[in-house]
Amino acid sequence: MTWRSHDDLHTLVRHCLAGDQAAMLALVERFRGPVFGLCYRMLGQRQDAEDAAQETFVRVLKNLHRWDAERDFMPWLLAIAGNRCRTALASRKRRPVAESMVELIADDTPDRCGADQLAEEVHLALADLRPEYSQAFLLFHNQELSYAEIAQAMEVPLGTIKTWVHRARRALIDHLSRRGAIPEPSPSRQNSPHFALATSTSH
Amino acid sequence: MHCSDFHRRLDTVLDDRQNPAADPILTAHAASCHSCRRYLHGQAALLAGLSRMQTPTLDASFSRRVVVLAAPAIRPARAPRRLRRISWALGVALSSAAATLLAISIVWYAHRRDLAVVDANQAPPQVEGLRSRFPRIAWLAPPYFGPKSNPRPAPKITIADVLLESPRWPSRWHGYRDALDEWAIAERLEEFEQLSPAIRPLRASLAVIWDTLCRTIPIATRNDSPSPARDGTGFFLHGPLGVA
Repeated sequence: MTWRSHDDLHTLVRHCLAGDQAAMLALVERFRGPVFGLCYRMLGQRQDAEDAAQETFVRVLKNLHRWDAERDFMPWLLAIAGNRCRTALASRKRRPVAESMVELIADDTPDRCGADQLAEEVHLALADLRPEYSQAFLLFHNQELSYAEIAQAMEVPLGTIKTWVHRARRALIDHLSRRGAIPEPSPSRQNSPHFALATSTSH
Repeated sequence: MHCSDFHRRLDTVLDDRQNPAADPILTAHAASCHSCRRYLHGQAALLAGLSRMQTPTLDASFSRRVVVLAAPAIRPARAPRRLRRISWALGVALSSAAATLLAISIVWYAHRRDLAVVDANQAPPQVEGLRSRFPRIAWLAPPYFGPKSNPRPAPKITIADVLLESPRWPSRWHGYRDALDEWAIAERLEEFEQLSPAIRPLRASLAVIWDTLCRTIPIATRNDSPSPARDGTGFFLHGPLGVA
């Protein structure tokens, strides 16, 4: 049976549970983008992110019978991915020598301008965050899940999730500011092209 | 507006996924406060950088690799708990009904079916009558077919009697011989012999073996019971359920 991207998710899951490998393939194909994106943003390394994404999907396929069909699939999936990433980050901390891409990038001074540099700085700042903060922040701002969905997925009270996202925002802005990634604003700069670009692309 | 109010309002605006630059209260305060203006600019840069972060593409074999790893370990889904409970309750109900039916049928059969002990050496009259009319199939005919010219002797023991006596069996099973004697009371062998006279030699052989065993193995003699009567087969019939 050939599965298409717009096939009903519940049908897809039912076939996966019946052992249909084509359905499993379709399920992984459909969700691999968001999962790998979250893993890459949380871990900062392609290889680690790929490993975490692979572990996530293996775990999801093995435990698919535990998914409550009355709830959204995406928060459940991304929560598993986030947990895998947090585990990977914890094991990375225990490594004696960890030469990460983040460290290599950190050696560069942010004298370059441009959107790519800003993205790299954000990447660096995310790597400095506590894992649960970065997970909540990325689920909210990057995957655009609601606070309720994040709270349900991470099994944490909604107020705690809000606090984590707020703290993550402040920590990231402080980090960008310390690194000089944010140009010194002036009252007249609020109408500058950079500010307009930043605010328009953020939503 | 205080700076703390500014931060609180900014968080609220961002939580609602609105653009802070479009909020007049925030922009008015940012115009007069350098640190808040810097913070507002920083959050805009943060979200812009986040949206510009590029994710490397996964290779095409990723999905297939995952399926190869996961497929062997996938277990079929278990039925929902409610369904399991219903099926369990149904199983218990059906088992109870079956047990009740079995008990009822045993009691009913015990009251309906009488055991009659007949002389094994005497040919049953029904079979004799059938044999004269249908010589080739008479030996197959059960004894309850054909004309009932000679009624069977009045029953002395019924299965109900056996069932009523059964709680006292252990006390009377002093030895294997007595126990087997009790079982012989049922005398099903007699009925089978009526149906199939060919088992008579086998029965005689067994009786000889049994007698030999009884003489070989010594048992305690009971003084309170009379010596048991012996039928033609060598089985002893005595005690409360004994028949003549």
